[in-house]
Amino acid sequence: MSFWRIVLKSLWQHRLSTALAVISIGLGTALLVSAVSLSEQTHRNFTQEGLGVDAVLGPKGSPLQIALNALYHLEEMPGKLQWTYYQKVLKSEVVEDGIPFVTGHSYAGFRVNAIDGRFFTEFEYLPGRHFSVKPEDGGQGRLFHLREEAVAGAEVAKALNLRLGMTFNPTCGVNPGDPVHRNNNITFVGILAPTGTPHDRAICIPLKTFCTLEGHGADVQEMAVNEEHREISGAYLRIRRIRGGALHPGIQDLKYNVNQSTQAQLVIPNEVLPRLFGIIGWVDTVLVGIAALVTVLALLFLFVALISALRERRRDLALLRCLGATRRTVFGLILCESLFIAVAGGAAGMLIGHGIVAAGCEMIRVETGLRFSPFYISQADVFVLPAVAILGLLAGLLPSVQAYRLGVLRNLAPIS
Amino acid sequence: MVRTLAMVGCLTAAFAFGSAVAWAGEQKDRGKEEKEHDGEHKAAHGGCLNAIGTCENGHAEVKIEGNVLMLWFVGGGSDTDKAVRIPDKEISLSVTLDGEKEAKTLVLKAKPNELAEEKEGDCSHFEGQADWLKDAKKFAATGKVTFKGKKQDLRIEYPAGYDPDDDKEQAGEGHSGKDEEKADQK
Repeated sequence: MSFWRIVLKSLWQHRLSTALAVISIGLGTALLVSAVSLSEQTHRNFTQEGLGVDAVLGPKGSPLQIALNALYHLEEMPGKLQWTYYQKVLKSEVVEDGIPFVTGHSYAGFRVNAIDGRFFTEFEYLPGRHFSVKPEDGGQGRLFHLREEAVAGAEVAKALNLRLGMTFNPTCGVNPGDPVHRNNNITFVGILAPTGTPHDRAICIPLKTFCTLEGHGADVQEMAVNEEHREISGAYLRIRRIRGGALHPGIQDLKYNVNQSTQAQLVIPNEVLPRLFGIIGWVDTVLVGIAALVTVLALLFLFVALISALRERRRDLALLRCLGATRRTVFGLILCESLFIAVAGGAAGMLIGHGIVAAGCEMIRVETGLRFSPFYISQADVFVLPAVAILGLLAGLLPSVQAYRLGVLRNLAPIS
Repeated sequence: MVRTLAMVGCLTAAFAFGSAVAWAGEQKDRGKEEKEHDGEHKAAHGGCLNAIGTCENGHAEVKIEGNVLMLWFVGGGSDTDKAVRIPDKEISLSVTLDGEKEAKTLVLKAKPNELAEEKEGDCSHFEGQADWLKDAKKFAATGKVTFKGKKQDLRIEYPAGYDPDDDKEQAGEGHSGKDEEKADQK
């Protein structure tokens, strides 16, 4: 009988303890893989892609709040920005274009943003990618032309079971219980193709519609015609490029100049969002630490299981020695069993971990519009199997040494 | 059999060890970068910072582009990205280029930041132009400004920047070194 056959038969003979060990190692590894994968993908979504925006011009307040509201449709803008100031910033030689928007309304839990129509045609939500309502891209209908028209993101349409031609009245606010604008009856004329960004979770109406919503006072309604009095929540800015596609270096001077103003500030998402992860990054570290601890405990369980199993297998191992097996063979037998259980647990854990990520992806996509992938290869996928294998070898080392030193004659006698 | 196992074990251990060393190295570099940043104030425009009086009082950030010298008055301490407006409409600097004995005069005119609603007499940015600035690699300049309501001396060391604490340390009066030794002995 070959060496590996003996190993497998031995594992099968103690299948209950083997299964328990594999499951416990698998669960620990799954936790580790899923925690690291979600952490890395979250970091990538919030910091590396920039969601197609070079800079956001917003009112004075928390830069993080502005970035979260403008890019992720979370939080609220800390104030309003004068239209005339926005026009002044547009004249800067560093700014190529701007798309103004007004936030602060909602419908059925989704944000309603009033925005310039060029958002759909000139704005790149990811580098090189524009919004689409074409059926072949997964969209429907058309973009808005009139004031009483709206376009919904893909997730909004799916969640509310929207059909073109349906109407709605936006809520003046983003919190439950905020007053509803009645009698506006804005019509959905388009549904955007899925983008995999938070814009899938927003409803867009024309910029001037904000001013004419029923219930807004005369001062707000005047904003539609009088630029001197017009206010917006902010604007997405596209910065000029220099050779190589790099941002114009003058953006830092522009940021400095705007930030000295009492009424506005310039937020560069790629500078602000990494700071968020600098603050909460320790949470990821703790989660990964807990997952690693669970895995180590599972391997400790394996060690204890092997030690206790060895006592019952002394006679079997002594018999093997009598049949010609050397000390080294017996040593290798126990070590291989340990290694096999650890690797099997690690492999099962990786599969379960990606399954957990797949389940989490769907929940995250529904809640935030961000796309995560269950097939993403994280650092844990690279290191977990070798690490588990090493720990498995270590767990099996002492039992293997004890098996190596087993006396044949003394252990041939029956146990009971 | 055992030889094979031993080889596999050694390779895996080597892989894990190498990864751990690489990760530890990255953490160390990150920590080193953070430490380096903590010790220096950052110039918002990439110029050199020159303390006005003391570092905590305020700074004058100086940068040269071509034959133009640009100067921004900014806050003290770590507030080097916050503008400090002064009422002066122009600043006269006495500039001594490195290797030269005679000082030249350079007049900086106020260049208000329109995006911050600045105007002449309430301005943080000044510019001066001179042909000899194009080749100026190193110089020292002095002048007077009305900074935070008081007439104060302005001293510029380009491109190193000016920090009065550096002078005190060189003279042995600094707050580092000797004072810390005494504290340790106690």
